[in-house]
Amino acid sequence: MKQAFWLLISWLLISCDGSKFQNAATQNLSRADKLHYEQYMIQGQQLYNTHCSNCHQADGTGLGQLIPPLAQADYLLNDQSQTFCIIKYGLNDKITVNGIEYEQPMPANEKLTNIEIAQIATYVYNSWGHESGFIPVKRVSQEIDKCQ
Amino acid sequence: MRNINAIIALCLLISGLSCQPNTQDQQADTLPIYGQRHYDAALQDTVYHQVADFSFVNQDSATVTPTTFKGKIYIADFFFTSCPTICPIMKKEMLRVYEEFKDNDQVAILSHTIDPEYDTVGLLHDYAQRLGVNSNTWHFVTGDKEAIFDIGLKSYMVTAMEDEEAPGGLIHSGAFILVDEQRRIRGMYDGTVPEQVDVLINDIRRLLKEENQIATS
Repeated sequence: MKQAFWLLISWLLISCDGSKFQNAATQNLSRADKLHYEQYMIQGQQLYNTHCSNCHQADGTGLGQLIPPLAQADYLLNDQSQTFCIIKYGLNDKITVNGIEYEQPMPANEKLTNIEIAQIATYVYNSWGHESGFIPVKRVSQEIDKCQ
Repeated sequence: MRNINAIIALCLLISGLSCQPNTQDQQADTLPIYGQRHYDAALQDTVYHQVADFSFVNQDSATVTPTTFKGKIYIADFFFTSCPTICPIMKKEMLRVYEEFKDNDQVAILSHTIDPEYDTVGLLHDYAQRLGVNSNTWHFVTGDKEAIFDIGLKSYMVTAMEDEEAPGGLIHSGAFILVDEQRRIRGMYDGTVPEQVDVLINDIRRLLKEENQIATS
């Protein structure tokens, strides 16, 4: 009976919840990971709106040549590891995104935990036409340890 | 003396907030006039709250005074370039206003930095250039810090002050303030809310219509 109840709950969650988040890269995830992915997307959006969207804007387009875009940004799409590090530790060097050099420093967010960074990254890498798939906290933890 | 100033500023702020558009104004299709007003017996007319005299320097080292905006309406706001909170959103929204009216020489924008020690003319020049805007329409001004805080509170009825606890060390209102050719405040909008900026863009058109009717009558 109990099992049937949980089965029903998870079926409800999978069928009516965030299937809108699914994309080509998440199709082959296990059922459990699909659920995780949807949780990450919802949490990630909230965290993004709190910590990132003031500057990078809700639609990820940035601001002129002052703040780089995230949407369709070559830098971000080419280097996930470095992106995790920048989210956590900020950036004081110049950065070139889509051929434009930006020099405004980005503040660090050292209070963000690895899971929060994974949620933000999952959101950013699967929004605005991006389809990079689920980024589990385990991956972020491994990469964050290697940040310089 | 400081306390008195603060109280006056607070009264202005409250009176500004309480002066919402009334039905009469809407019927007449004109925007409200904000702030305290009084009757001047000598002039035999109502005297409205006006933006006080000022003199600042813009991103091209040009002096900006009320004369700069003669025959123009303008939108004022307060920001600083290193601001990590609401400024980028405000600037994104102000860019929309700029794009809408950049070819109309009757409309100008006046952005005051509230961190003049850091935001030098050179830095503002770079900032404007990176936003892709020109100084004929959009002035980024710096000047004496107290004078900037003062004009914010007393003339534009908005908050701008230092606060060590705030991110970036400064707090300021996200308001966009619409000023007419007679230096009167005709509208206040939250520059971080796109819907309110839509209203501002529409109100600018209404105010231009009003000013042009006065000019031809």
